[in-house]
Amino acid sequence: MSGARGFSIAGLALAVSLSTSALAVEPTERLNDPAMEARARAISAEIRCVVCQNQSIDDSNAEIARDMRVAIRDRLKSGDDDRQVVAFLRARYGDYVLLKPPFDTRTWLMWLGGPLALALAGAALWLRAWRAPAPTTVTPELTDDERARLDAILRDGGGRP
Amino acid sequence: MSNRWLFALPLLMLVIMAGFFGYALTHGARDPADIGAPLVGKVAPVIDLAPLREDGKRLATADWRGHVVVVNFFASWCAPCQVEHPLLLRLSREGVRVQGVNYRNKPDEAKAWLARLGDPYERVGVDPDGKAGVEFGVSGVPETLVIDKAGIVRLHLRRPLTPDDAFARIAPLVKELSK
Repeated sequence: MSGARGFSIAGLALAVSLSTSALAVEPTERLNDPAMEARARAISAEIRCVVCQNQSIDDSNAEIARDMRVAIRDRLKSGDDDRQVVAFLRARYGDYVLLKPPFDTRTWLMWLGGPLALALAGAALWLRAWRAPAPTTVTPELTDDERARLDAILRDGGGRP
Repeated sequence: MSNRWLFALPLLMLVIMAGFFGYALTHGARDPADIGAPLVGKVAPVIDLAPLREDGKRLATADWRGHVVVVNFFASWCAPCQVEHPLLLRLSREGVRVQGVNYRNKPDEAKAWLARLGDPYERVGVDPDGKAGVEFGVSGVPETLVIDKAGIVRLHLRRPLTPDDAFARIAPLVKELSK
């Protein structure tokens, strides 16, 4: 019972995950040259759809995403290299179309913020550990009275039964 | 000593985060859905489109040289296009050269739409598959650009025009660039 349901949910998840990537790129869009088509797919996966916030144009069914996929293939066919194709889209839609924002003066804090915070926290911890007095096992001195009692115990071999 | 500092840390983090949120909420320019206008300051992309009307002329970037033009992407299926349409008619009547790109539209429907609402366009080119749209970095209709005599894009509005857009921005800009 629960096994069958688990199986059907897995099947559904698989179907959904397959359909989103398989449906977006229509057969008519594909290039005949498999190597060039693979380049087009790789570029498309990094280009953000301009009307769907956080989906690549490779995944999106939006018409504008289709237009941009076709534009990428047109550029490749006319002899552009991958960098030129991305530059073409970036010139028209800006950094908005890059799923991975470039590293520049506006984005350095975003890229370095995480590692920077980690390094700061690590440095603070290390400094604290280094500056704190080393934990020593404190052995308090015996008083004369205690010493005399201890000597007596050692001499008598215990003193108690 | 330093342990007491740790109690203030969550509060400090809250203050920092509240600062970020407050900034993001009160500074309207920080709209995450805003694509911006990267074409502004660059040479207008080259298009050469077939005319919408049988007796019309092709709509080509090359023909705009020496003129200040307003390029408007529109479609008859686009409701906001109908809303901004009277503003384009007024701009056209005031002597602004408005060029139309009929975006992903059936020609018959576009012609009927223009016949019904009036035609502000000097020329209308057809863009049935959105290729000219991608060339101009259009993400949807309506969008409007102003291109100067030298063919440089001076303004790109990704929204239906408001009266302020038309008469406080576009009209004065066209006047200024036409000098």
